[in-house]
Amino acid sequence: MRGAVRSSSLCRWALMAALAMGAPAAKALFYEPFPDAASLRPTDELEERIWHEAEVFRQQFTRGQTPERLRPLQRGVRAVLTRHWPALSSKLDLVVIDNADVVAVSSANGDIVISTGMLMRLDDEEELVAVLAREVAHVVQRHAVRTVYAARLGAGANVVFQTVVKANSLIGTVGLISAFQVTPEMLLVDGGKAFIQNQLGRVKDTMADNFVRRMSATGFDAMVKTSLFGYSESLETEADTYSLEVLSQRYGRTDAFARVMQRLLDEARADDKKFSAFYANEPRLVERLKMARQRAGEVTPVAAPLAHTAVPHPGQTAAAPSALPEGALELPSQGVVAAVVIGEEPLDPHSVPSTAAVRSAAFVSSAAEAEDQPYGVLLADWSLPVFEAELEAGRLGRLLLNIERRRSGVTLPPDARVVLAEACLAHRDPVHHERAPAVLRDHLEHRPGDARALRLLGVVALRKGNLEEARGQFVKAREHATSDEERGFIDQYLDQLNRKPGVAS
Amino acid sequence: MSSPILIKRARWTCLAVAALLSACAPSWQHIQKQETFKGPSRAYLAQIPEGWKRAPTDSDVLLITRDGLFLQQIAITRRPLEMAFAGRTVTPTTPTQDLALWQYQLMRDEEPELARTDSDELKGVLGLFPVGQAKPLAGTTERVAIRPFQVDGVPAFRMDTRSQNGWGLTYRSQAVGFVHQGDFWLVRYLAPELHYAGRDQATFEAFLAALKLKEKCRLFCSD
Repeated sequence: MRGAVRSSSLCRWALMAALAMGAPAAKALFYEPFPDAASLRPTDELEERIWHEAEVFRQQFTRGQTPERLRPLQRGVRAVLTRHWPALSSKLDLVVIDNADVVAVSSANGDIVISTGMLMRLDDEEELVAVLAREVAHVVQRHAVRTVYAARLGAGANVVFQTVVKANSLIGTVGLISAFQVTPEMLLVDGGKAFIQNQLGRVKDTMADNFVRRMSATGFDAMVKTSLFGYSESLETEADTYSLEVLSQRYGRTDAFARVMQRLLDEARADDKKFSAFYANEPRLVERLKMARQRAGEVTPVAAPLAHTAVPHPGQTAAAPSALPEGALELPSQGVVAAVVIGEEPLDPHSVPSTAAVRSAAFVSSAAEAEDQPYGVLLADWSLPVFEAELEAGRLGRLLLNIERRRSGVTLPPDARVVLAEACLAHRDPVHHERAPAVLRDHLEHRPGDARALRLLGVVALRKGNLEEARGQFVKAREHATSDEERGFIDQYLDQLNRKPGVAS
Repeated sequence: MSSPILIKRARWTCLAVAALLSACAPSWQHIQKQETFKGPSRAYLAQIPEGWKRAPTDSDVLLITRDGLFLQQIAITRRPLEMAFAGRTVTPTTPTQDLALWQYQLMRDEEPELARTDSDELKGVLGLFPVGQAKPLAGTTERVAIRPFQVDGVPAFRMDTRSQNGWGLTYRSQAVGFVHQGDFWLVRYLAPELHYAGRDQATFEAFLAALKLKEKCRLFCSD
């Protein structure tokens, strides 16, 4: 009993000592947001290491240079970033990746990665700003270093905790020995001494082992995890708040944020297969939607934290948008997305410039590189790859929502109808199967020689047992097929019809 | 009988069983000279190339490698039609293009477990480099091409994909899928793009060309 009391009191002392030792570190626990754009750089060894890891991470995530075909779209999105955060433009770098999933992540060093899949879910500049602002917030509010630092502190606390536990167990053992009338004097001779040394050695090993394991988890792994799977609730809320403030100041309303979150939530609920990254978290989406709606009710703009120097404070006039190029679509937000062109990227696809060179070159304005295509057109070109990838991945509920959603500012290419029909046919819910023929016929009225649409009509006929009609559609599809692969698969259908008349798939 | 004697006997029995079990422990079969493999159901005949090793399976699954599973492997697996793709009805006449799409989705969702990570591997320094990391990650699977194909006259698809393992090594996979004798069959070649995929490509082509499909043996399967 006395042993137990003694051990618990020792525990308390150890914990207090640990807290006392951690006090100076705790002072630095909350890295303050960068006060201005110029100060956006690592301030200590830990942050330097995280920035370095972020550079490595960037290379892995983006897998080298942005493909040529993605650059116009990337320039368009970068233009928005530059216009809204001009003071940060030399500090932030934005990369658009060809990925159908909903990806928007940032690294400590100012890298922002956004996917074509995410862009396809944003209808206008306001919505794009809502998403970009969240990533800017992660950078300027130093969420990465704060996360890693907290993890480190946690690891340190864990080492202390494990030590206390071990010490407690040792004391407990000593207590047991005293219960067997082994006096402390006896313990200090021969086996007793060896016993204690052995126990202390184990404690030391445990400490070292824990330390190594925990520390290794606070480096690159943590960086990747926090970047990919989101920060803690409180940091994400900070980013949301920042985004809402930016919207409020820039546009005088924040409903774009709620629109985006509602859209992502609807899509997340439409499929068993979830978004692979942070936006897969449905409860969190619900929470932030609630917050956004509350905020949308309040119209009083609040001064946003620094680093959003481009965002005018209340009373200031918003920066005038650049003039639209001829033929450009003006998006409903009244903002111009692709009017400003920045970025002179390396022309030689084989040359691999340094990250710093790419970063600095990316934000040099260049009139000669003026991009004529408006954002809506740039985005439309990327809709099909996104839809096709969703179709292949079997995320059909989400795909149907995404294709059929009414968009303002982006006109989908006609082939999206064929993807829609194929998604309807592949859907598990037979209600959708019935919709496919009408969509396909409508498409064929405009494009009578579309081999894919003809083949799909053949499949519809085959499923219904209309073998002659199926044969007719397959034969027509074969005539218009443009690749050997396409012809080969159509031949398989025709072989099937020839081999087993009367058997439908 | 007294209990010490019983304990002694039990101990000897245990030792004998352990010895027997270790004698029967499955081991990789080294193929000295090209060999024909027929699974228990005799649904196919495959030629195992010379110098390769066959995993000790006693089912229709065939798993062979020359240098190691993560360096190159050719596998034949089968799934009953009703279990081939969850929630999908597969029949002998299901278009191979649909099969290819479903198989692709499956590969993106999960990579079959061919090597299990031992819990000891997660401890200490080894824990920093778990063997599970060597396995290509399902989520990284990208389609390269899907083409129509034939295996011994049976319509099939041939799908080329690319994926990465936990250490960033790129793998190439070529999967040939078809319906045969009430099962969905998949013949797959998997190897790292670096060095191995190209080196053993010809071997895989020869393996595919030599693959013969047979009727399943249902009663006497001694041949």
